[in-house]
Amino acid sequence: MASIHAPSAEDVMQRLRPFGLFFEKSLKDLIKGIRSAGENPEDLRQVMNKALSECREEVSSPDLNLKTNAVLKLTYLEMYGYDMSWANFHILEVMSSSKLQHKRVGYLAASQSFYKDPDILMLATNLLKKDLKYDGNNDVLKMAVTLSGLSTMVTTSLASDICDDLLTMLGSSKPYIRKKAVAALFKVFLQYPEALRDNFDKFVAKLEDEDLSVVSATVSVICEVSKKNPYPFIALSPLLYEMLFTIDNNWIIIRLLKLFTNLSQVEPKLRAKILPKVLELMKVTSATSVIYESINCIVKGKMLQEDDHDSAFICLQELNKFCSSPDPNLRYISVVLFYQIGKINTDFITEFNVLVIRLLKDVDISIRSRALELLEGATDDENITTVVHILIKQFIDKDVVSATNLFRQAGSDGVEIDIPLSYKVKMVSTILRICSINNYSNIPDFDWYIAVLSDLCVISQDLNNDTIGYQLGDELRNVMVKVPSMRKKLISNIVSLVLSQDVSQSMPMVLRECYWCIGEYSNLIDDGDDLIKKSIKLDRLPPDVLQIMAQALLKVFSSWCNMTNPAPVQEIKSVLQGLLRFYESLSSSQSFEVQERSVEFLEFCKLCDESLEQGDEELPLLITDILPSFFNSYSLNPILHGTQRKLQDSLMLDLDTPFLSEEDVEKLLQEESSKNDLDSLLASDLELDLESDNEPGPNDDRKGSSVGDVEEEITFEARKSLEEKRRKERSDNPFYLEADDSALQKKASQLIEFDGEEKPSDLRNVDTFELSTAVVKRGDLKKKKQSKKKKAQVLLEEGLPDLISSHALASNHPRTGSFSSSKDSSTINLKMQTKLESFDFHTPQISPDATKNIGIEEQQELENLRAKFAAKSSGNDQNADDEVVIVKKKKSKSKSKSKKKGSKKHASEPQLPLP
Amino acid sequence: MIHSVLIFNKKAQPRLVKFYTPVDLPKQKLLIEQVYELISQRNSDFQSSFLTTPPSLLRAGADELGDDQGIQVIYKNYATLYFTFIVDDQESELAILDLIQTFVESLDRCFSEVNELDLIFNWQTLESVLEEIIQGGMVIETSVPKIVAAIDQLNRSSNGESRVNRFSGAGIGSALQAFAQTGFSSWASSQ
Repeated sequence: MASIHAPSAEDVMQRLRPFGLFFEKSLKDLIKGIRSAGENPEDLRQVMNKALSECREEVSSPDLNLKTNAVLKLTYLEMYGYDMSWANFHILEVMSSSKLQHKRVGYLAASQSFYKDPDILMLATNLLKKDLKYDGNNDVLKMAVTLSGLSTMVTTSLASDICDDLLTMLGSSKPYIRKKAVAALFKVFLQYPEALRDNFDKFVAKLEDEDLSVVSATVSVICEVSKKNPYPFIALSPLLYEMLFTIDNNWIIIRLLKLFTNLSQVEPKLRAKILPKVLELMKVTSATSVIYESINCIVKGKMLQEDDHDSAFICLQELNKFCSSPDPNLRYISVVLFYQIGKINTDFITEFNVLVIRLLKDVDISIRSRALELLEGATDDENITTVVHILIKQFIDKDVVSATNLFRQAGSDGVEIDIPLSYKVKMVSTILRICSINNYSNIPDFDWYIAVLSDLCVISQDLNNDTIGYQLGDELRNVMVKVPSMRKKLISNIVSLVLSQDVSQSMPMVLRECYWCIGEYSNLIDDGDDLIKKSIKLDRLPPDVLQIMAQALLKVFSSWCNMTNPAPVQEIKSVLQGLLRFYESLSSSQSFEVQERSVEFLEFCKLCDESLEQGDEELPLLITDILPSFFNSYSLNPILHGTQRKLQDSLMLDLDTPFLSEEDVEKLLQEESSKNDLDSLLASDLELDLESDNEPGPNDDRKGSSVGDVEEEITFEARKSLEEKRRKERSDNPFYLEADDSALQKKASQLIEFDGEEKPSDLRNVDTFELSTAVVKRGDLKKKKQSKKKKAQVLLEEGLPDLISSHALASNHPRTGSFSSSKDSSTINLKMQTKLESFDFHTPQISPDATKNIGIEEQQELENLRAKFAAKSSGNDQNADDEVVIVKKKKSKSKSKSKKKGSKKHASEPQLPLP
Repeated sequence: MIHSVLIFNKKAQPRLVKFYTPVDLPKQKLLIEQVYELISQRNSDFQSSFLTTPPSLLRAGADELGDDQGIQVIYKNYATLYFTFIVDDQESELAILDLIQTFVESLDRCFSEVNELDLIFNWQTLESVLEEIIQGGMVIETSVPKIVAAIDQLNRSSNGESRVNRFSGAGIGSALQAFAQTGFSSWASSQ
């Protein structure tokens, strides 16, 4: 038929508009043009830009048909991303046409474009109200078109203006209108909850409408509204669960189940009533979708309690069936639901581990991916080796699924499927997670686990994923620290990993923690010289690896030099030369952390080198004593994540009291200059180190600043005299406003007497705090340390008792944190703006319809708007006068009426005059 | 509710873009690109109809806290076209799959043996069919005969109107009429 109509219409056009034809392309021509441009983006853009500029002209035409056509084309072009909100005013004109066809186009365009512009909606309000009224022939259709259009552009003010009209339409004799009105009311309720509060019964009565479509729409709206604010609907629940069995329409039943989910989330009392009903429904119905939604309702509606094994079993039994279905959709959503049930209580899903393992081999990758999430609950120390084995076998690019796993008929060879990178990444992190769960209680054999870790490191090279690299590194470090009996074996694995050319090239992220392990447990490494020589040849390592590596290599050097059978001095010299060159090259690194560390180590190595030159036979003290004392003061224990941060938060640091007064500094400088020969300096340094070794407790902070230690060295007498001096100077100095120290101290001691728990000064407070935590840690360790019977001993993480609320833990790992925040810019939020959530339905006060009487101010605002649009369109073309009149004219058809006159006249009128 | 309905072909050319929740045009485009990217990696023969959430819909930190927005992207592939629905957790996944089927069946009733070319040149029809099924993100009708009947009624009225117009001579030759007749009546007669 199209072929008959089209040429005739074109004939007509040609006959009547011989000159204008070029500018009046129909939508069909536009589509043809776009198609002929093919896939060349440049051509396409040209075609569209041309069409757009044509539309610009046509849309300002006084001919309403032409205008409508242009609006239609613009609506089509918006699909390709061309904004049309500039034409809003023209759209409004098309909407106000008396012809239904024009209206259809107008409302379609408006629904796409008006939401951006609240101004135009104010102008459209009266038109909408008029179109919603029944007064003539084609009005059912007109109302329908209007309802469809306004459903996507309701704002708060529009909602309050049209809600009465919509509520009246609920009583329409046509079910077609009733259902559309019900659906349109949803958006009104979102923006203007008062409408629902004041007309609750009237609206809810539509649940018992004679037409099923109306009931369906009503249930849908109630369901959506209850998501935002479920409280007003709880009273309806008796009616609703009766409907569950009286209505024979799966669509509505599913909606009701969704509704119950929302209600039950906030009203736990409903559980006792609804749960049996839903379980019964599952038995009665034959529809898969209803069974699925029933389970969904039970799970998401928080009706499944942790100890309710019977209900859980019924649900899981059904899901188990679904998971074996040939329909991938059913399998997929069932797996997701499985996971939800597992989250309530992992015990529920443990017996389904056979199923989970089967799903890991599913033909659909997305189902496999979901099954991975289930593994956490379904693995134990018996099946973990099988599971990990299955997963590691999937690290190939193409997986062939054999015909037996396929439910559809396929060739006997099975189907080849691509394994995407993201899935592989997920597999690696899942393996790490299921293995490390419950402090490695699932690991039957750490020899096996170490082999798995090494495999993973090799496999993950191709993934090109930094996060995985870090995760693997963390895992290696954790095992290293936590399982003392495996350290020797693991360190040799790590060394070979570090020296593998492939790993260092493609996954340097893992090296960071590897080098940390190497440094920390360097005494377990036999051939440290070899490691150092090879390590310094690795190039293009990222700075965060280098900064750890720089330190680790010195530690390795230290351990290697001080082995029980030390290497000949000559060899030590050559290794040291290598280190020197290495630090030399890093001392100009762009990363300041790397630079600083390597410059420090470089200087120290230079000293070592010099000392080696002096005595040829024996190793100098610098290497045998001083170097190890840098690193071997304490052994490390695993500490709970965030502990350090907790400590930091609770420390009350005194940042005001200076460590040294000016005299102290001067005196120190003098001392320094007096013993400026190397030997005595070394001796004092050594003394310092020894002293710090003797100190109890982990007060690393102080160890760093040798100045603090020096201060302690000053004898008591000296200090006393110093203090005396200082006090004197203070009293002379006009800048010291506070009273002298003795008075202060007196005050402090009074306080002690008065209130025994108060500490005299902040500084001492810190000291005691540190001590107490140290004690707590030790106690903790003793309590928690308990070796597993047959397995290797795994150390537990130590933490602080909850001194402070653990807000520190809330902050994420910096790596993941920065990753997620970077996404912000392009996120799309589909959440609807609504006032429903916080709306109080309990204070019904039916206000007199104040909204109807548009205040003078609002009227003025409307006039301003109108003038604004008029000005806008008059800029577009010369025919502006006519155009404005079309929208604004009253019954009079005098097109000659000037724009100015028109607006002046309307300013005094109470209602917006529209045709 | 249903946030969006997208129809595009295997070359990522849009055939219908409908958003029931306001989304800026550039973001609409971004979303379509991402959805296409995800779909094009899949094999519809044996993979499910559910997509992992496109990056632009993920809210920061949603991975850790669970996707509380509950947005799902559900698609079905018919010949050269992908019908994609973006819905929230108030919609049932299986019901949406049925709905897509209903949509396509209704189109098939309008054009006997519907194909991509029909939909390309009758975008308006596509819009009106969808309008009878979904209004403002809410499903209003799921029965194919009722949907088709409603569209029939609308078009019958507009045909009558345009015929009257032609005879009365008002606005003859307008491009709109050409559109109206070819656009909305072609399928009606082809039933």
